[in-house]
This record gives sequence, C-alpha cells and structure tokens, in this order.
Amino acid sequence: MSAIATVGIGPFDTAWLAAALVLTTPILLAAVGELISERVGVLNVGLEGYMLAGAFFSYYVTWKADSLFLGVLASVAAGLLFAAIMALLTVEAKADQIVTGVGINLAAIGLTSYLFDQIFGNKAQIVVPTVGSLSIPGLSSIPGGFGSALFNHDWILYLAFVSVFVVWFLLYRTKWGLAVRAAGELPAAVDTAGISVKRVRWMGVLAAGGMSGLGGANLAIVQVGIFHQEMTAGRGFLALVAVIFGRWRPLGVLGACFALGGADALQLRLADESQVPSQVWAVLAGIAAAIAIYQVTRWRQGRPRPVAIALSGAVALCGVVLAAASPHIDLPDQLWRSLPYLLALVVLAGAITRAHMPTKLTLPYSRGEG
Amino acid sequence: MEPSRVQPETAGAALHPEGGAALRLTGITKRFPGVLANDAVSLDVRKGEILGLLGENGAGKSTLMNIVYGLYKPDGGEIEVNGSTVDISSPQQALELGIGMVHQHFMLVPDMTVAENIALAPSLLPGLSRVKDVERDVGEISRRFRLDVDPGAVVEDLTVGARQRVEIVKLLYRGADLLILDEPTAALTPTEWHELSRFLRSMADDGRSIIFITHKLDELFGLVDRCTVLRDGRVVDTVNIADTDKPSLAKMMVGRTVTLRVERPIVEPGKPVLEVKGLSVADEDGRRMLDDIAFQVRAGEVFGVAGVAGNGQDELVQALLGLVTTDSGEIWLHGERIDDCSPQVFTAAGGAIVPEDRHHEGIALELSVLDNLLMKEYQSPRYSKRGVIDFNASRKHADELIRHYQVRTAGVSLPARQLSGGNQQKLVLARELSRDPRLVIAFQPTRGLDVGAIEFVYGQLNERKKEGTAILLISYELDEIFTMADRFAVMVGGRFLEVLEGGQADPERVGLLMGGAEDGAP
Ligand SMILES: Nc1ncnc2c1ncn2[C@@H]1O[C@H](COP(=O)(O)OP(=O)(O)O)[C@@H](O)[C@H]1O
Ligand SMILES: [Mg+2]
Repeated sequence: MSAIATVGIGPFDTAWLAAALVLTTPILLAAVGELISERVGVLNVGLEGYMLAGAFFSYYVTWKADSLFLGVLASVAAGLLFAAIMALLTVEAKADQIVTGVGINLAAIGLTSYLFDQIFGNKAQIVVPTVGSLSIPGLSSIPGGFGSALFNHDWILYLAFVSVFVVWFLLYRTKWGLAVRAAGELPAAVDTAGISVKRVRWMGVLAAGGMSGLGGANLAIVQVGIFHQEMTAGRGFLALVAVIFGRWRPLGVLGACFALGGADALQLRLADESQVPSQVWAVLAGIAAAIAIYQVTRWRQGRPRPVAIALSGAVALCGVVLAAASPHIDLPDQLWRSLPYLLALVVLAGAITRAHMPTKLTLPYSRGEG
Repeated sequence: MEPSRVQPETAGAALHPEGGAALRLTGITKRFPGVLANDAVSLDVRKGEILGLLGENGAGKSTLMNIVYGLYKPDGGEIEVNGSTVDISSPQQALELGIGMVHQHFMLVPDMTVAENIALAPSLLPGLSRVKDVERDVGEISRRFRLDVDPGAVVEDLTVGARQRVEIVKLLYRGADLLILDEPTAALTPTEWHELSRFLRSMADDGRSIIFITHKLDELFGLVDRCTVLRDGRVVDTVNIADTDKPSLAKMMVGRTVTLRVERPIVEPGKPVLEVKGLSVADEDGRRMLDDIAFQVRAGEVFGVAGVAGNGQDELVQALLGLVTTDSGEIWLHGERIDDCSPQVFTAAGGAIVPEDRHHEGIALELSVLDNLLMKEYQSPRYSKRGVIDFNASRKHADELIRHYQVRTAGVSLPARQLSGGNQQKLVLARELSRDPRLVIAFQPTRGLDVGAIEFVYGQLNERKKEGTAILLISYELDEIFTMADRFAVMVGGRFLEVLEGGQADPERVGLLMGGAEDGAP
C-alpha cells in the first residue's frame, strides 16, 4: 500500500484508511460467514478456531506446494472441515452449540500449535511470499491518496467487501435466502414447506467455516507471510461481536467490522506516540454526537432509547473535553492497545437500534416440538 | 406456480360424488415415548369429499395428519394416494403428491412478509425469490376467494384471524389436491367461518378432497360429508353426517354423555371493580383503534365483549394492562388509576389476565410447570426469602394447584411445552385465578380447547364470579358470550355499539351488529 498520505484529520488520513481496510478484512470475512450461520440458527463460538486452522493451512500449503492459490484453497478447506465437525455435532447430533464451539476452538489451537511445532519447530521462521496487490485501473488513481488507499489491495480484500453485498442479495432476493432467514426464526415453517432444515443449517455452518478459513489465510499469507501460534488473537471473537452489533444484517455487520478494523488501525498508528492526538478525541466526539442526534430523532418517532442517548452524549462530551484539554495520558501498553476497541464498542452500543436476534439461535430443531 | 384451478362458483355438484379414494390409510400406528398416539388407524377420503376428523385434544388427529404430510414416520400401516401405495417420508414428497396442510400452529415466520412466507419453497440454489410476482399472485388469490390478505404485510403485525387466512392462501398458492386443515377455525369470526366453509365446499365440488380436523361438533354439520371419530388414538367409527346428530357424535368423541350447557350462576353484582371512561387509543400511524370506550365491570359479574377479531379487542386488553399509551380517558381498577402504567401495576391492583395467545403471553414453553405456576409470585415472601426461592414451599403450592385445577402432567419439573393445549390453558388459569384477583380479563379463554376443557374453564370462571371477582370476557365466539356474560357490549371498529343484557339479547341481531349494521336491523 502506498504510504503517501495527503488528506485527513490528524491520524485519520488515507494511510489510516488503507490500514483500516486491511485490518477489517479478516474480521469481515468471518463475520459475514457467521451472519449466514446465525441466521440459520447456529452460533459458531468456534469461529476463532476456523480462522486459526485457515491461517495455518494456508501458510503450510503455500510453503509446501509453493503456490499461493493452493494455499488459499487449503485455508477454505480447513475452515470447512472444522465447520463440518461443528455441523455434524450440532445439526445432526443436536449437541450444545456453545460447548461444541469451545471444543472446536481448543482443538484448533491444539492442532495448529502441534503441527507448527512438529513441522517448523526447529527451523528458522520461513517467510512465504504473500498475495500481492491488485490495483484497479482508473479507480486506483483517484487523487488525494484515496485511490491507492481504497483500490490498491489484494483480491481477498475486495472479495471480503463484495461478499457483503452478495450475501445481502442472497438473503433478501433469493429463495435460498428466504429459507436461511426462516430457518433461524421458525424452522418448522421451512420443514413444512418441503425444505430440509438440516441442509439449510449445514450450508450456514459451512459458510461460516469457509469464510473464516479465508479470513485466516488473509492474516497469514496476505498480511505477513508467516504463521505463529494463536495468531488470530481473538479476531474470531470480534467477528462474533460484529454480528451482534451489526444486528444480523449484512450492512450492519460491515459497519461494525469497519469500526473494529478502524480502531485497530488507529491503535497501530498511535502505538509509538506518547500522547493521543486531540483529533482522535474530536472525531470520537463527532461520531458520538451524530449518534446521539440520530437517536433523538428516533425518539421523536416514538422509539425512545434514553440509555443510548445518554451513553453517546456522555462520550461526545468526554471527547470534546479531552480534545480541548489534550491531556498527557500515560497508559500501560496493553490498555493502550485495547482502548480503541473499547471506544469502538461504546460507539457501536450507542448506534444499535432494535436488535433482532434470530429466535431459534442455538436451538436444535426437532419435528413436532413447535 | 399456477395459483389455483378452482372455480368458486361451481356449485351444485352431487353431495357424494362417485369417486375413488384420494387417500386411504390402513392400520397406521404411531408410538411416542410413553404414548400410543395412533393405534391401527384406518380411514379413507374420496375424491370431491370433505371428511371430518373429530376427536378431543390428544386423540391423535394431528399426529395422524403429520404422518400423511411426511413429518412423522409411522411405526406401521400403509398409505395409498389415488389408488397406489406410497411412502411419504418428507413434506416435499407430500407436496409433490398434491397434499397440502394447514397446521394447527401457524407455520409463518413472524418477521417476514406474507408473500415471503408463501414464496418459501424448495428450489435449486440460486433461484430468485421473485417476491413481487408472488405478491401479485397472492393478491389475485385473495381477491378471487375474498380472503382479505395483504401480501406485503409483515406477519407479526397481523391478527390471528388474518394469519389463518394467510395459511389458507398459502395452500391455494401451492395448488394442492388433498387439503388437510388441522383445526383451522380456532380463531375465526362467524363471518370468516362462513366464508371458509363455503369456500371449502366449492373446493370439494371442484373435485378436491378435504380433511377437516376439529373438536367442535357444530362445525361438522353443514360442512362435511362423512366424519371419522378418533378417541385415544383409535378410530371409534366413521359415519355419514346425515345419519347422525350432535349428542351421539359427542358421545363417541368423549366416550360418555356430555352436557354442553353450562349454567350461568345468578349473582347479585357488587361495586364496580373496573371502570373505563372515554378511553381512546391510536396506533403508530395515528389511526383510532379505540374510540371513546366506556364501561364498568362490577364484582361478581361477567361482562362480555363480543365482536369480530381485529375491531380493537387487542388494543383494549393492551390498554388495560398498560402496554400501550392511551390518548385520552381513564382506567380505574379497584379505586386505583392504572392507565398508562404497566402490567406490574395492573397485577398489583388485583388484575389477572388469561391471554389470547397462551404460547406467547400465557406461559413460557421452555420453563417448567412449577416456574410457570409461580412466575407471578416468586417475589412474594411466601415463596422466596431474600431473593432465594424456597423450593419446598413453591413445590407444595404447585402440587396443590395442579390437583385443584386438574392439570395433567407427569411432574412439576416438566417443561410446559410437553403439556397438551388444554393442560397448558389450565396452567394459565391455575396461576391467574389462584391469586384471588379482583378482576380477571379472559381473552378468548377457550381457544383451541375441547369440550371437556371448555366446561372446565367456564366452571372455574363462574366459581370466581361467585366469589365476587369481576370478569371481563372478550371473545370472538358469540356462543361463549351468550353462555357466560351477564351483560355484554358489541365492539365494532374500536367502539362499543351497544351494551346488552346477557339473558335477553337476540343472537341474530347481535350478529348483525357485529357485522357492522349500526342499529342491528337487517
Ligand atoms: N412429538 C411428540 N412427542 C411425544 N408425544 C407426542 C408428540 N406429538 C404428540 N404427542 C402425543 O401424542 C398424543 C396425540 O397428540 P396429537 O396428535 O397432537 O392430538 P390431537 O391433534 O388430536 O390433539 C398426545 O398424547 C400427545 O401428547
Ligand atoms: Mg392437534
């Protein structure tokens, strides 16, 4: 990505934008897959595990076969495999989804760590080639740095963002989408319409697995070209959070993922600064104020959310005060790194309107139990 | 898909057309853990015939039809469709054989539109849903059969009656030849019922076969050709409807002679318990759902609200409970003003509610019988100390309630889901009536119940009445109002047209009032 930053407010410049997009991608892939799965009624706590498996196998196959393309395929296959285990246990055997998901995570951590030790344990860390950028002709030369920030990335990134709209279309414009949405709300309606609930649910879980695996590949063979143990570092869990904050809707999930990715990019940019630039506080205040105003207009329409208004109002006020005072804050490194996430979550919590969780999320379906 | 091939005007076909069997069941047996739901059941439906399937709750009617629809696998027996033996192992196969079923519980996804629900069908992966086309077809069907259905409406905004119509339109849309309707009339108004029966007759005259499941005897006469009676999973008999009468059918169904009449106890009413003055409520779009409603319910009195579904009954109940904000008016319960408060205030002032939809508002299906019984009393010091539930006291109380209200359950720790509909309703009654309420709102309290359970509900409500409780009975069933109410109002378009004395009103005039005739004159 180009490092020439010309437009922006303080740290929020085009370089930040480019980094935010890159960091959004793995979370977004997993979250879009998980969105489908949750709409059919299956919660994948094992999302992190699918990603980790995807990351490892993409790296391993790329190294072994010396082919990035095969590496990407391997990541999807690994995610699908773990998801198939999940589906087998929860959809077929009706095991508890949360317990199974935790098991999948532990299994993925164990397996990838073991294999990594066995295969690479006593070798120097090998860096494999990474998936290169694909600059989109025309668009990538938009002036002001925006062109290269937005349109000079690897194809997996484009795929991730395009998948949001593809999934939106599938959910709301196809018969398959009707079945998916119905399967998480009233599976009996799917069943009596002559559609197999199991099949729909299998497809949902596999979507989560395959897309998370690809997200893992994005981490390993796009961003760095290496694998290290537990390198997903909680991104699978962030994806789960993003689905909730995105209110189980594709565009909402995109927004939530971008908030998290943007926060991560901010954290990286600020890592070696000793003071938070006042622009950060100003932008935070601006967003929070916008949310507060939005919620107030909704109140007029008879949908009061006083807590959200109070919350976003308070954040806006804090932002203004901090921007004005611009205090020197010495934070422990770990806290520093988690701060953007916390702020992103506060902002998202304020922006939430009516959350509608799929009614039958985590519940197995059996005929004759209404 | 071709919406339908029905000509509603083809009347006058022979009542018993000479057709082969569209469906023949031989020796169907189905066993659930601990229950023999169907015991060697045999029946047949001829082409162009309406067959009634009569039986009390738990007789095995739904189980039998779910087998025909491919939802359950029978343990034994044979199914023939149009003369050839078939193996129906999934609903998809049933649909392919032209079998369509309206299930007892709505198979409608609440947050999808009517058209989206109807468009739900098996298809190859990327097929477009074409909801717009479906909307057009559904609009066409609903106009043609005068089934008032808005294809663009979201199902959760629809009344129970409207959802029922959607289910029927769905069946028509799928173009089935054998129609199974599992207790489709539970929430229909007299007018809607009339429309439905006429419509079913025209479908049969057109050569389709219909299985009409019910436990209401009245519905069979004038609709079905023959009737198969099920009791405890076995066929008691199949009779021509012309050769039988109500008492003998009732006897076959319950295995004893039943009196359907309930005596209305005469109680001298006391002071007003519930007073509603000039109550008006508008919905989100500003439409008036309740318009200047005023009435009193006195102690020891059953005050009825008659009317067709969707004329403001839901809003009235919500306003009384404090679930909607009122535009004007006052609600007083036992000297306390409760409008724009909350269900907690309503309950604390001595109010109890038997809601219309027991699955969503009456009980928590996944919770145990015990939890359901004590839900509103856990905070009381009798059943909990410093926030910790006293299980011995709770259990004892629950056991007592189960005995007194004759709830049939294998234990108090069973989830309420496993109880039959009648027993679930008894659970609601037990919880609501046992708290010595000053006012009971009974909203469609016998919806979907069999004769025995209806008698029981009426008996319990009359018991409360004799104890001096004020009872507000809101019902779409005119019979229920006539049986129970001391006084009643006719509700149309959010207004009370007239308040009538229970004993003296003329049912025909009330029917006309309900239909919207201002003065009840034809
Ligand atoms: N899925 C099921 N699992 C266990 N028992 C069931 C199930 N469905 C129905 N039953 C039992 O089978 C019997 C018949 O039920 P059902 O067919 O629903 O009766 P009906 O429709 O005539 O009211 C009842 O005792 C009921 O409790
Ligand atoms: Mg039934």
